[in-house]
Amino acid sequence: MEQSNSAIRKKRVKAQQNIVTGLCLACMAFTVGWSVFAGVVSHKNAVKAALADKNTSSKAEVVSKAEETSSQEDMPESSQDENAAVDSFAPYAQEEGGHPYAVAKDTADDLSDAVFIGDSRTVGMMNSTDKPQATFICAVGLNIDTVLTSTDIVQGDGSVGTLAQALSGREFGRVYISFGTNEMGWPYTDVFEDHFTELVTTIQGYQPNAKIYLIGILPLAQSQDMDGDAVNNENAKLFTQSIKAVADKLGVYFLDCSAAVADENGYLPEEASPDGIHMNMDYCLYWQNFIIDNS
Amino acid sequence: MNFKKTLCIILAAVSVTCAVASCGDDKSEDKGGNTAQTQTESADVAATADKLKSDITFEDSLVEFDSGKIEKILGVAPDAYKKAKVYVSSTGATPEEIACFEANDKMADIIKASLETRVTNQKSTFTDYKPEQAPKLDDAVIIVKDNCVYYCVSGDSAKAKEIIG
Repeated sequence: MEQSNSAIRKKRVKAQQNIVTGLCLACMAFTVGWSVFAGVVSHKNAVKAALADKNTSSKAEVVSKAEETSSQEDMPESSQDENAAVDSFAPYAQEEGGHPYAVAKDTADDLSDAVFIGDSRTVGMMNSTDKPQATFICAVGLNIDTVLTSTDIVQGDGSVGTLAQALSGREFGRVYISFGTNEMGWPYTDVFEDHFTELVTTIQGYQPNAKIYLIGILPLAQSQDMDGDAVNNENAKLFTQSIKAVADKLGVYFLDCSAAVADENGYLPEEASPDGIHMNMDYCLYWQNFIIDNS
Repeated sequence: MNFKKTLCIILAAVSVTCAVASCGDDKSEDKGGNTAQTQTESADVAATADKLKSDITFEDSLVEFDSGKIEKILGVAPDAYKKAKVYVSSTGATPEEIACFEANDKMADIIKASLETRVTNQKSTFTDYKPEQAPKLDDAVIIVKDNCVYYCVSGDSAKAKEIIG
């Protein structure tokens, strides 16, 4: 009896030992298996991250190559993904038969000494420009009657203010002035000329050493031309003559940029504009590049 | 017995080593995981901006802004955000635009304030110049979710809100 109790006790102890051993081995196996799994997952993540970086730099290379091909300046550093740059700018490569102003011939001119003053068409150039050093003082709806008093003019830091605030405190080498589209409904061109003269002389007061260029009114699309309102190509030409007269009177430069954007019939192409007046990015850049090459 | 003891010690050492290594792997896994998570979060603002652009019908053509233009024109400095994607009218004809930011710490409200100022300034000009565009600004969508700021001016603010969520 005692021997059988002892045997039972021994068996029980052995079984307990085996259970504990088994549990320990199971824990060890779990730990080893878990660490292997963690290592594999970590490796996969690292590989994914490396591939993502590789794709990003490949696309950046494509952008860089496109820029080299077109001899464009380097884009500014951006905290954003550079992938999108591929889709966001006009074609730089000037292939045979490509637009003559797709790329500025004067690649050295970064417009860093230039300021563009104007209305919503100038806002379009501001939004589309590939020259980050250029300065834009403009506003939608601005005209030569309101430009000297408007407080809605972009100041270059996200705020708005007056023309005087924007022009003060910095000296520019070139000032490009582009108005007239919003004034085509004016009945008298001499009033237009008087206001334009006042604007130019005021700007000369702020920027006495700058070369001043008055920009002729760009053409409109045929659909806009036939719309029946005052904003049409006939008035554009009429008021452009007034702008030229002001330039001649004040001894400043005049630029007719129509060649940059007009088709063979003198119209702004329909595909250049959503409304027949304001130009899309490509045409804003053609306009900008024409200015670079002709001033 | 000695063999068993030795084997037990070895197995215990191996399991402790693996446990420590797993903890070490946890850190790299966390880094990898965090990187993946950050990439997902960063990609989200860009993906949302692209979805707004593709799924809403815009009257205007939109051009993407780089950080310089975002600062000069929208008034949001680069140090305010980790990631951003901004599309603005390329023509100046409409106030249509999209801006999605993953803000840096405590910068979401500052970004939101800049965008609200932008809407106010745009209203000031478009209300007189093109009054038919003013409703788009009246219905401008500005949503802050955690540290992300979403902004959209379009003709379909309901769709914009649905996309942003």
